Parts: sequence; C-alpha cells; structure tokens
Amino acid sequence: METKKLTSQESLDLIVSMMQNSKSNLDNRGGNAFIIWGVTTLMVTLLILLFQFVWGMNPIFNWMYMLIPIVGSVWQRMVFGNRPRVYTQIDKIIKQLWQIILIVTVGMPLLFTLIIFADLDTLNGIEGSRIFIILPFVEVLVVSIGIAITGAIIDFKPSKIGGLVGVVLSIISLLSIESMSSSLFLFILWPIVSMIIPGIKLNMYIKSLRDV
Amino acid sequence: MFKELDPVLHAELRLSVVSILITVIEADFTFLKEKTGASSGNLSIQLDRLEKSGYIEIRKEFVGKRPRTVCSITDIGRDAFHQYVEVLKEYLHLK
Repeated sequence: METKKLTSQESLDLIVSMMQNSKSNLDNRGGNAFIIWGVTTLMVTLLILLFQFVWGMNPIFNWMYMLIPIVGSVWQRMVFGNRPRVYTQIDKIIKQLWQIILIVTVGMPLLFTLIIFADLDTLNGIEGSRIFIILPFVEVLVVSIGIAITGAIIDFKPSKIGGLVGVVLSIISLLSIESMSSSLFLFILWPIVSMIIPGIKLNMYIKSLRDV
Repeated sequence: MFKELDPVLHAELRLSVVSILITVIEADFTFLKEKTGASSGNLSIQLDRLEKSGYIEIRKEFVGKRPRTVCSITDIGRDAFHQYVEVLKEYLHLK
C-alpha cells in the first residue's frame, strides 16, 4: 500500500474498512485455547487413571492435577508465541478473568494443604483432610463459570452452553462426593463437553467467517 | 470555509494504521503489515512518521529471542483522528 493522497470519500471508506477489518480479527486463538486446556485436563485425568490402575487408588495421585496449569500454560505459549498479535479490550477482559480463575483454582488446593499442615483437626466438625473431597466440585464450578462468562463476552453460544453444562456436572460431582471414580469420570466428560467441543465449534465458526 | 485535513493522517497507509489502532489497545508490526498489506519498509517509515508526530507509541520487546514491535495510539493521536473524521464529514456534507 502506497501512502497516496486520498479523496474525502476514499478516506472515509478506508477508515470504515480498516475498523471493520480489525474488529473482525477473530483468529483461531480462542478456539485453540479451549482445545488446549480441554485436552490437557483430559490427558492428565487419563494419566491419573493409569496410575490408579497400575498402583491402586491413592489420593496422592490427585496432586497430578497441578500439572494442568503448568502443561496448559507452556503448550499455549508454544502455540501462540510467534503469531501476529493484537490486543483488544475483549482480550484484556478475558485475560483478567482467567488470571483470577487461575489464582483461585491453583490457590485452592494450596490453601487446603495449608489448612491440613496447620493441623486443624476439625473445621466446623469436618476432619481437615476431608475438605479435599469438595475440591473437584469447586474447581469444575469455577472454571465452568469462567467458560460461560467467556462465551458471553465473545457472544458464542456453544461456550455459554458448555460452561453451563459444566456447572451442572460440578453439582453432580457434589452429589456423588464420596466416590473418587465419579470425580475422575467428571474430569473426563467435563473437558470434552465444556472445552474441547466448544473450541472445535469456535474454530469452525471462525473458519466459516473467513470463507465468506 | 472548510478546515484543512490533517496532513499526517491524510495519507493512505498512515490513515489505515491509525484506523486500526483506534479500535484496539495495541497491535504488533506483523499484524499491521498483514491488515494493511503494506511492505515492511514502507510501514516502518510511516510508523516512524506517526510516532514523531506523537500520534502513536512504539514499544520494542522480545518474545523469546525474537524482537517484536508493538504500536498503540496516544491521546494526541486519538484526538487528531476524531478531528480528522469531523472535518471529513464536513467535506462530505454529512454534518
């Protein structure tokens, strides 16, 4: 593009065209981010299942869930690191939302651990170590609400539905709280329904916009 | 009597860049190049002109070992753009 002088009408047309162009800057970052986090959650869950199959049920294996933020962050950075980057108000809001969710989801198990190490035998009558059993419910609930809010911000129905289904699944996990296998089942079904499927649908939607 | 159009903005590539930057918080050089279809050399020259006029800010950073140039519009640039659009409207009898 040369820096030629423009007529008034050409200037106005150019402004409108460039603004629309940058506003429709949907690339497949959004869809791929959902897929990356969904697949990471699924893989870590399957790994835990494998460990339990080989060495039997052991709550210590649940600490492997802490691999999710590590693997997910590294993978996402590898995928998005060198792409042309634009930072919009929507990106900023979504980034801040997920920073809060990350702090809560990583902070919660650490806080629970601190409670146990502080040797609090009972918390309102609940044995210290037993507070961990509500963790899958809380984690899935928080992340699912995040997915639904993200769906609302980008105005994408499958993400909103996926997030709300995740909320329902988290409540189901609360109802079957004593069963470790049910929480593992939750962590297999939930990433597929709430992250991977909406991510694939978002990529398909973005591709359809590009093809127009 | 019509006001004069801002000569810094009244050029195709510079106007394209500012029109993009007005809608986002920041954008990198590769993104601007992709959206405007300009050559790297031409885009660099025009970004430099916009920066010297105080319309945009240019930040250099590294992503890993790769350098990245990130541009954002300043308050001066935002005001100049709005004024430019107002004058355009007068020219086109849209006001």
